[in-house]
Amino acid sequence: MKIGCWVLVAMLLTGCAGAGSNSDAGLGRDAASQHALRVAHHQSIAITREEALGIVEDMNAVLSIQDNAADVVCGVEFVLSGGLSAFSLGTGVISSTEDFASLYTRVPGEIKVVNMINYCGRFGAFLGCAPVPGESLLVVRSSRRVEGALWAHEYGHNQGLSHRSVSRALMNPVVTSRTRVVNQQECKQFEAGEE
Amino acid sequence: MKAYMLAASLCFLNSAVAWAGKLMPVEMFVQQAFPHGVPINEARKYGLADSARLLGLLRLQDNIEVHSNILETIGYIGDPVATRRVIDYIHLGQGEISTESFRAKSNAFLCLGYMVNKTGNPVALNYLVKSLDMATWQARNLQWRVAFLPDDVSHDLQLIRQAAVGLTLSGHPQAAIAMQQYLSPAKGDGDFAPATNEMLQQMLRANKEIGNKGLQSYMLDTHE
Repeated sequence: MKIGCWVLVAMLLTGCAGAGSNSDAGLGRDAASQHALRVAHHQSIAITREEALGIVEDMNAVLSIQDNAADVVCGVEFVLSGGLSAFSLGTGVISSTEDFASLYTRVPGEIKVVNMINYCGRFGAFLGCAPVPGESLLVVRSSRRVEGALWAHEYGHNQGLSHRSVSRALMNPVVTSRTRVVNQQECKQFEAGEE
Repeated sequence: MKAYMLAASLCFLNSAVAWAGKLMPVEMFVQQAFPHGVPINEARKYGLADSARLLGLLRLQDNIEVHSNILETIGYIGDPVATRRVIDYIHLGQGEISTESFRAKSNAFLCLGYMVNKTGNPVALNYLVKSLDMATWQARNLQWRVAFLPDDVSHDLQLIRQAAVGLTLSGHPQAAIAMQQYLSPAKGDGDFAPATNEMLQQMLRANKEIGNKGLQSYMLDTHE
C-alpha cells in the first residue's frame, strides 16, 4: 500500500487527530518509552478525566503515526497518571514572571491547565507556555481539534525542542490538527524523557 | 462523521497547498491556532481592507474561538477606524460569559496597545490609560461577568491588568508614565493592588524595550 493510503487510513482511525475515542490512553505498543503525565487544572476550569485521556491519546497519535515521508514513527507513549488534580492558587491567569514561577514551582504535575496566559517570557497572548527545557508546561483550553498537538508541542519545548518552520512540523509556531511531523532528532529528544 | 472530517482535512490540505508562498486570505489566517500568539510579521502583511473584513467577522458569535486571533490581527494592522469597535467589543455583553469570550475581550486590550504602537492612536491610548483606574471600571458598570473571577473587585483588577498589558505592548512613553502613576503599589491597597512592584517593573522594562527596539523585535525574541 502506498504511503498516501496509509495516511488516509491513519486519519480515519484517529478521527483526523481531533476526536479520538475516550478509551484509556496508550496505544499498546511494546517498545514505546512511557511518559507519565500528571494533569492539574485551576479549580475554575472544567476538564474531565475523559477529556484529558482523549487529549493524551491524540498526543500519542501525533507521535506514533507516520503522516508523511518526513515523519518518523516515534516510540513514545504518554500515559495519563492518576486522576486530575485541581489547584486554587490565584485565578488561573498568568500575567507575570511571578505568576508563572509560582504555578511552575508550587503546583505538582507535568501539565497545568489555566484560564489565560498573558506572560511567557514576554507579554502577549498565549495558548501554551513551556520552558525550554523544563519540567512542566502551561496550557489554556482551546479547540479540541488542536489540543493534542498543542500539548505535544509544548511538551516538545519541555524536552528542549525549539520551533521549526516546516509547514507540517509539530514544532511549527502554528499548531493545527495537521502539524504532526517530527524528525529523528526531535523524536530522540521526546524519547529522552522516558521514565 | 469520520468521512466528513476526512473531506474537511483534505480541503484544508488543498487550501494550504494553494496558499503556500502567498498571503492567505485573512479569514483563513485567523482560523489557525498560535500557541505563542498571532505572529506579528505575518499579521502586519495584511491591510486596511482586511481589517474591515475582520471587523465583520467579529460581529459573528458562532466563531468566538477565533475572536482572540481576529483582535490581535486588527491591532497589528493598526487601522484607527477600528478603534471604537474594539472598545465596544470590551463593553458589549450581558450576564455570564465564557472563559474563551473573556480571553477575546482581554485580547482587545492588547489590540489597542498594538494600535498605539503602530500609529500612536490617541483614542486607544486614552482608553487604556483611563482603564488603569478602578473608579473608571466602577463607572463603566459592565453588564457581563466571567465565572472564574469571583467578585467585582477581582474582575476590575483583572481588567486593569489587561489594560496594563496593552499599555506595556504599546511601547509608548506616556503609557509608562501612566502605569507608574496608577500601578505603583503605594497607590494600591495591600492585596487589592492591581500589580506587585515586580510586575510593574517588568512591564516598564518591556515598555521601554519596545519603545527602543520596536514591537516586532520584542515579539520575535525566542520565548517558548
